[in-house]
Amino acid sequence: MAQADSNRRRYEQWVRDYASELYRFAFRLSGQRQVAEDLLQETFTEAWRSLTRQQGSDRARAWLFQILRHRFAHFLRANRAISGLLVPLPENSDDQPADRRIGPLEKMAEKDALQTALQTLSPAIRETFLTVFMEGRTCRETAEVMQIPLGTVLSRLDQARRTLRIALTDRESAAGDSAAGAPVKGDSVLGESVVKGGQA
Amino acid sequence: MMRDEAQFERWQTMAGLPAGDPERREVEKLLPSLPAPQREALAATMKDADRLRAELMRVQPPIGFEMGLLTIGLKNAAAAVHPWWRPTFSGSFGLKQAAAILLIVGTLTYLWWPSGDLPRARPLSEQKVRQIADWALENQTVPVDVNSSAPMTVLAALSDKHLPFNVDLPQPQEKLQLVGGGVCQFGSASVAFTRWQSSKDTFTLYQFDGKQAGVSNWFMPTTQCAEPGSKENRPHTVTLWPDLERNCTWALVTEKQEDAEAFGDVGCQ
Repeated sequence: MAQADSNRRRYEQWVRDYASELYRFAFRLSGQRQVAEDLLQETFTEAWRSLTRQQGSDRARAWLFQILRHRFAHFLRANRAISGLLVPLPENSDDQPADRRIGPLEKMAEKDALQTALQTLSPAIRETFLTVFMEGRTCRETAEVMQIPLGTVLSRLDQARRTLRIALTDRESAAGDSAAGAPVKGDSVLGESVVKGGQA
Repeated sequence: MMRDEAQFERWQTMAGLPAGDPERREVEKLLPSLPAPQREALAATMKDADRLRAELMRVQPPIGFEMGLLTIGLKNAAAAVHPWWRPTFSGSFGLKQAAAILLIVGTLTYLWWPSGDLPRARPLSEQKVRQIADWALENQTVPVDVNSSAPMTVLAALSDKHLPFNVDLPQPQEKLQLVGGGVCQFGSASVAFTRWQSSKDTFTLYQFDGKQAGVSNWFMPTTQCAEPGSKENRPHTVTLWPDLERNCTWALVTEKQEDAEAFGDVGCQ
């Protein structure tokens, strides 16, 4: 009985401590809320089943992220034929006047430019990028976890950064927002374009 | 020259890593010794990375989704075999031993098997639910302190009230217009509320510290039909659910129970 209680407490603690950040990771990875929720359910179900194998609580976070990555890989394999459909359609994009002042919450709900840009990355690059930027692993750890050379990690990160920069800059241009001007070397283009929506 | 450019490209890549990464720290250490143009370019890249990371984190999980995880996780677990008691049979294993093991396993399973219910989450007492529901419905007509459809304006105004929990604004899944928000009292508990308008109905969403209101912040989500005191109003549904992440309790007043879905999966059974 004590063992069962202990397991329940640990499981509950994991949900409390890590569910939110795992959800964020899953959403950024998949680009769809429903898929993110499904991935979380599968991750925690698998975590529960393997409770007895995961004794140390200090590594639980990394372990849960690892399960989530595996679940996403399964998801991609199962949906390979339709994986191209994962790019989320902009919701209500025609409903908002172009000059409307958009706050962060609204932006998040209605036009997630960053997510759209993320979806233009290949799953491998996106996963590498999010593992470093959201899970918080170092490049070396990421290389180890993903079983790829460190140089590949750095190259993928660089590619992700460049792609996001181009995608977000294109979006800015398409929106007719020429106030920021064309990006030049050393400009904080990515930051400007990301933050602008929140500050406008 | 080419070597310098390649080196700088590498620094740019390392500067584009999140703060705290050892590779980036190496570049941060180098910054003071670099010429101004290089230093500024690398600093801009670091700023980009920091903003990007902050923006990546701006994803709001659906309200009450942790509850769903607990429920579904445990229900699935109930269907699974616990590896710690799974017997391993060998060729020499006798029928009596097998029967004994099965008897023990059966008894233990009966006693220890996860029920599928939420761990230690208890339903609220009917009296308490009714009390909160009546209060929530009654306060549905209380004027808002802040009249604004801008979520950040309302959120900032409510945050300034220094309530004993982190005030948050949900992200409705359906198109609802934010009308405003304010603070009211439920007994000794301070309650933040926001009002939303759909084409047909008005929603009021309350957020409070359940402990102050006499309930824990960890209970089975529940709904209650609340009869208004005035005959002019129609009965409404009040949905109550706990929020583990924010350590608070939510109460939502809608005309129909299904309207609560506008605020996502609130974990109701």
